This record gives sequence, C-alpha cells and structure tokens, in this order.
Amino acid sequence: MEKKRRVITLLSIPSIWLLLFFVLPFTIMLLFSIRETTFSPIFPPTLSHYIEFLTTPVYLRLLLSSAWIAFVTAVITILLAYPLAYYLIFHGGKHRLALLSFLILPAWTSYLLRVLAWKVILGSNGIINTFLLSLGLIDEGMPIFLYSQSAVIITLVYVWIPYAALPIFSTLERIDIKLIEASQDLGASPLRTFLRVTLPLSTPGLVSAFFFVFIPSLGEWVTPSLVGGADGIMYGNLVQTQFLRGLNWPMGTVMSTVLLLIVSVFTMLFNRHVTMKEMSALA
Amino acid sequence: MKQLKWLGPFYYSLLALFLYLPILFLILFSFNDSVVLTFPLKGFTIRWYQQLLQTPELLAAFRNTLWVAVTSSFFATLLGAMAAIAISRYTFWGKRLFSSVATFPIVIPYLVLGVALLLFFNAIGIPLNLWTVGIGHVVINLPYAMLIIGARLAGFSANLEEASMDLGETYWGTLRRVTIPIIMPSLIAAFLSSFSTSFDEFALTFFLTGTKTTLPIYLYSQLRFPQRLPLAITVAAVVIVISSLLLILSEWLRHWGEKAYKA
Amino acid sequence: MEKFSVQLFDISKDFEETDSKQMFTAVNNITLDINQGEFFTMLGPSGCGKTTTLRLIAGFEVPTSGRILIQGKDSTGIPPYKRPVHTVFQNYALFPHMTVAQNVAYGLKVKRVPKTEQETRVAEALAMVHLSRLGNRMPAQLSGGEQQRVALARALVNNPEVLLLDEPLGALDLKLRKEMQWELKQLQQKLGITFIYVTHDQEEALTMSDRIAVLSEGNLIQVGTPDEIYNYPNSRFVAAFIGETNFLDVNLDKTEGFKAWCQIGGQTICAEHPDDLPLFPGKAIFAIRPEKIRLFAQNSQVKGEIAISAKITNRTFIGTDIRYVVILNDGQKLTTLTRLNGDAENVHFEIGDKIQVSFLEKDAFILTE
Repeated sequence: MEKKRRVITLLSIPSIWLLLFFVLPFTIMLLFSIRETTFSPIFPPTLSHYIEFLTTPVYLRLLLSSAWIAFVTAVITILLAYPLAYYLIFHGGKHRLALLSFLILPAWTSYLLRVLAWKVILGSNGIINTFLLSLGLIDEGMPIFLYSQSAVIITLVYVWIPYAALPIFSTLERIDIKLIEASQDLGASPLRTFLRVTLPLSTPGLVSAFFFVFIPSLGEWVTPSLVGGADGIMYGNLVQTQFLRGLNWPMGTVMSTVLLLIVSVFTMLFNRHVTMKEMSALA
Repeated sequence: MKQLKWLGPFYYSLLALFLYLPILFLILFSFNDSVVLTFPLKGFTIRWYQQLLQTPELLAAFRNTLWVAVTSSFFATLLGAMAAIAISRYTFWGKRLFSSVATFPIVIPYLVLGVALLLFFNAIGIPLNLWTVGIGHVVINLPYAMLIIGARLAGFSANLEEASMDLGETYWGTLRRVTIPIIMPSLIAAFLSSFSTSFDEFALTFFLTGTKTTLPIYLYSQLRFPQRLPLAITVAAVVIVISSLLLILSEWLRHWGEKAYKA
Repeated sequence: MEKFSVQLFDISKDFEETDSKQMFTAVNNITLDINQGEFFTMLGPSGCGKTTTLRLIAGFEVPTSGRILIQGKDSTGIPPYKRPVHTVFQNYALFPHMTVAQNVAYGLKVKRVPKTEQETRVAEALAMVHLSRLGNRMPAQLSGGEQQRVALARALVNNPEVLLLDEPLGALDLKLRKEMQWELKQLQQKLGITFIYVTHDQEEALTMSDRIAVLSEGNLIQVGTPDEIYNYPNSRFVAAFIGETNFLDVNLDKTEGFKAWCQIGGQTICAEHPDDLPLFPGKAIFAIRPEKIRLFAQNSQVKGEIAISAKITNRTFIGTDIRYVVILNDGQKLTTLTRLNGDAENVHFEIGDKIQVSFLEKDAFILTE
C-alpha cells in the first residue's frame, strides 16, 4: 500500500541510525560491563565488576554524594526559578516571554565557557576574593570559594536556572487565571490561594524542572573537574578517569551502566509528568 | 501588597545580573592587558584577539569545529525532519516505541552517551576522529531537531498536503512543493540550534575526539596553563558572541515562520 | 457518458482507535449511486461518517472493504492525485506560502499546462468567483469568505468531473453562508458537474440539494430528494434530525399493508408508513410535524375529521409563529406551531385553555423505529 511505502521510506534511515548509533552502543556497553578485562571476550560473562562496584564503599559513597549535590542543585535552582516564573506570568505583562527569553539567552552560550567564567570569579585570585581583599574583609585569598562542593553547586545552579524556569513558566502559563480569581472570590487569602490553588497546579512544571536539573547534574563531570577540586569531585569524574587515566574500562563501563539504569528508572517514574516537548525550546 | 510592587522587578534584575555578569566578566577580561584575571583592570588591549589569529592550533580547531558542526547539523536536521514527518502524519506499528527511543537521548547524561559510543567505536574498530565526534553530535541533536520540526508540522493541518495531492501532485512532489516550504523556518531553526550545540559541545566530544581537536577541547586543554587563560577567555568571548547571534537568529526565524503562515 | 458519476458498492471503513486499540467503524456497508451532474448532499450529525465517505471518494482513505467507481472506472486503490475529483476543504487548506493566483494555478502547474493557458484559466476561475483583483494577495490577507472562493476556484480551474465539498460554509457567518449557498448552487447548475456536498446543516441540505443522503453512526439511513426526506422520513432518526417532529408511542390495533390504525387521545387514527413498508400490529411510533397540527377553540366547529380534546400547557412566541405545547387527555404531549398570519381565528390561546387539536391523516405517519 502506498501509505505504508511512504512511512517505510521516511522511517528507514532514522531507524537505522538510532539502532546503529544509539541502541547498539548501549547494548555493547551492557555486554562489556560483564566481561572480565578490557580485552577479554564476553564469554564467559562475569558479574565481578558489579560485585566490586557494590562492595567498594568509595563508589557508592561517591554516587550518594553526587546525588546529594544534584539534589541540592535542583532544589536551589527551583527555589530561584519559581519566583521568577511566578512574577513573569502574573505580573510580567505582555512582554513576559521576551523577559524570560532574555534570561534564558546566557544558557544558549557555551556550557564550558560559563563554567570557565565561574572558575575566574571564584578562583583564589578570582574576582570575589580580590574584591573582598580590597575591602579589607579578608587577609588572604579564601580557598573555600573555588575547589569545593559549594563551588560545584553554585556553578551548576547558575547553569541550570534557565532550564528550570522554562517548564515552570509554561505550566504557570496554562493555569486559568479564573481559578485563582475564583479562590480569592471565595474568600481565600493570597497566601492560601497560592498554597491551595497555584502551587498544586504548578506541580507538573516543578516535577519537570526537578527532573531536568537533577538528571544531568547527576551525570556531571565537566563542572567538578574545573571548579570542584578534591572536595567537589563527582561520580562522573571517576567514570571519566577510568577511561582516561585508570584504563579500567570494565569498571568505567559498569559505573556508566549503573548511571544509565538510574536515569532510566527516573525517566520511567517521571514519564507521565515530564514532556520532552517543553524542552525542545531549549535545544 | 502595593508596597511590594518593586520586589518582582528587583528579583528579576538580580537574577539577570547573576546570569549575565559572569559572561560579561569574560568579555571584559578578554580586552584586559594582563595575564592575571583580577580587578583592577590593567588597561585596554586587543592583543589577545591578535594572538588568536596567530595560533595555528586554535585556527585548526576552529576549522574542525566548523566542519563538525555543519555536517552533523545537516544530518541531524535531515533525519529529524524525516522522523518528525512520519510521526506527525502517520500511524504505524511501533510508533510509540520509536518516538520514545528517538527522544530518549535528551535525558541521558552526555557522560554515559560518551562512554557507550566510545565502547561502540572501539568494538567495531573505527578509530576516533572528527567523524566519530560528528556522529555523537547527530545523536544528541536529532531529538531536538525532531521536536522543533514536529512542532511546526503540528502547527499546520495535514489538509494542505491532502489538497496538494487532490490537485494532482504526487506525495513526494507535495513534500517538495508544500510541506518543505512551509516547515522551512523550523528546518533552519533546527539546523542553527544543532549547530550552536555542536559548536561548543564538550562533555560528549571529549570521549569521541581523536587527534584532531575541536575548539572546546582545545580550550579545555589550555585551562591547565594559567598564562594561557586570557587567550582561552578570548576564545570564549568570540564563541559566546557567535552562538548568541545564531540563537537569536534561530528563535527569530521560528517565530517569524509561525507568524507568516498563520492561515 | 456514464449514467453515474460516483458509485459506492458496499463500502466500509474501520479505524483503529489510538488509545484503546479497538476498531471503530466509521462507515458501515454503504451503497450509493450518485448521478451525473447532480447536487448530492451527505447529511448527518458529526461522527456519522459523512466526511469519511467523502475522503474515501477523494482517495485520502482506502476503504476496508467495498468498491468505489468514479465515472464508471474502479478507483478503489487509486491515489488521490490520479482521480478526476477535487476537494474543497472545510478549512479551505490554501497553501499559505503561495499567492491566491499561485494557489489556483497549482493543479495546472502540476499537469504542466502551458504558461499562457495557465494564466488565462486562472484569470477565468478567479473571475468566476469574483476575485479577479485579489490574485496577488496572500491567503492570510483574505477574509473567510474570500478564502472560501479561492478554494473553490483552485478546485474548479482543473475542470474536475466531480467536486467534493466538505462543509465548505461551516466557518462563515450566517448571512455570508446564505449568499454562498445560492452562489454555489448557481455555479453548479452553470457548470453542470457533480457536486458531492457534506454538511450537518439540514436547512443547507434542503435548500441546495437535488438529492440528500442521511447518515447516522456510519450507516446510510435514507436517500431521496429534499421533499421526500422532509415529508416522508423513513425513520425516527430522519424525522427528528430534519425539521422538528412529535413522536407518540402508540399501539397499532389493526394493520393493512403499510396502513395502520391506532388510538390518539381516544380517537382512532389511520396513518401510513412513509416508505410504504408493511406494518404489523404492536408497538409503533406515531409521528407528526408541529406545523401540520391546527388548534381550535373548545366549542368551535372543527373543519376536517379529527378533533382531539387537549389543554395548552406552554406557549412561546418565536417571531413568525407561536409554539404551543398541548397535553392530550391520555397524557401525551404535542408541540404545535401556529403561524402568525393575521388569521385571528386561532392565535389567542393562553396556558390552561381547553382546545381541540386537529390534523389531516395524510400528514401523520407511522414509524417502526
């Protein structure tokens, strides 16, 4: 049938592409995670690397501390982004989208460079330290600003604010203003209206925002490698090191598979609330 | 409530400062006549920019980046358009599965994607080079291209395509003469957005790059040397300006396209 | 010349519902012959299958079973671009990136008609729909009515043998719609080509069509001229959908072919099945249109045979008429329409008035469903 032929023509190349360069690489990753050494055959398979992963405290501890960093980042980001979206939607007037776009614009620029900017700002010869020195508030460059967990969190928050603001903004935009008016009309105070009407209705946006900040932060390795130092090291750094210097590919593969599993589980849990379409505006 | 009216604009300005200041610092320091990136500024110079043009590795990295960005954006847009047309215009077996697989790269950390692709290229014996970087970039840009183009396709009725076939044009002729002209702004937007992502992508590229480097890789390698920091910052300033311009252009095209054809 | 323009033989179309995966029958075993040069209307509420039937004729959908003949040629599997039919879409479907003239020239260009011929034919087509001066405009700059005309010109310029129109006037306001109804009918008569017209507006169908097919839930219920459909509806659905009809549940005491006798308000009434189908004693529906019922004062001499006692329970003034609801002594209710034509004899009833209801037996009919 003609329609069938068209669908096949349109889909064949994208499907082959996805199979070859997306599905197959992950299959290979799963297979490689169960082989003995970097160069040994897959058969007989072994779970030794998984066992090592689960029994070596450093891996799990790092995973937990990375999850903590990602969680704190997501929470702070949402706390900063929500008032912004709220202000723009309810008091931003007709230029609210332009105002939002203006804030999102920095997010379009190079990720690496934005991290680099924070390295410059936070460094011991950096802007904050020299500023405090010149005011005489401190005597010498304070290392706490750079190379710490806080530095990683500050930088990640900076990077992700626009990504959190967008889904919250579009959820708030869809709230029928009449619902809020109805609540006030029925005698609810502004605070009560916010807690009982606005906030519950913006849950989908909050969930999306959390998801889209937490997941990439969890897999982050560039930011900690630039501003994290020894304290701010994350799970991703260890994975990257396994491939770069450690040459322990099987362990790196296992770690990366574990991360993939976590992400997949999260995606499935959040699937109903998170719409990919909202993120297309951030492409 | 009235007296709190200033709170919103104040908060907005604060966030704007927080988001823009770091970038402005970079641009500012790229004109600063000192190797050390601290205040007070030492004086205006364009020597870092001159040095940019005299650093062959940097220019080579720039050319490589450009090549990867153009090639990978072209394929991401092409494949994205094909997938978007199939998804938005037809029902077929496995449609749900196809669209979830096609959009799944959005949520996968680049680190994981990088590892998987590295293992894959290693397993099938393809040496890492600019092509492998390009393939990686197509994988991450394809879902976004698909969503951008899909949004445009959803914005006009399939009736237009039916009308064209009703008037005697074949399906493929209809794509060429009706569908593609109408979705053209979104094709350009998808291309530009892929381009700017590809242009400064680092986390994934790092795993896939061979001997030839791209601009972000080069930049990262320079960060270890404090005396080269001003140069790196200058590259950063250039990249920021270029990608901002591209993105403003792509956004403008997207809105212009929607407005012009609102039937 | 073929006698029939379009013939449908036992056409069915099933769709798979997107969420439930269940099959849903949009068109159910429809057989229809549409004559050459006829203004044929498919009428029914939304979801009745009329648009799907039209799309099957256009070739946008392929029937699950059955055959479609266009100009005597089997067209069942033929793609839309190879059929001698053109469509005017409900939302007009004008190409937004082309001017009006480019839109109209589209079909000619596809067929590689020489440039000069294209130009004259486009000019003629635009003149035909009174848009000669708007050739260089973009569709977005036109009003709804003008877009509608462009869509018409774009289809007609290709000299189709059949023109399919899918609720083409649905988006226009009432006044413009009336104008366009008249214009479309004129155009169809002048060109002499077959129009297959889909609408849910019964009044539109009655005023424009040579014949009407009434559809419901994918089934073809009745085909006939507007007069036949209005005066002899073959089912409760048609009687209710086209115009307004009173339905009373009755028991048929005696039947004789398609004639039957029943009790209404204590009187024996004889009525016929409108489609001349045989009737049998038992439960049935007695139907009569409100405007066929006349009301008389309780003590006045009723002209005609039937006079049933009743009481006014409701009275509504609707401009040209007064609508009364009356209750018969057996508890059944009837709605009546009384034209305000200065005939003072029967206008002045008030709620609670005792009156007599009268009608002609030939205006009433018996339906089995």
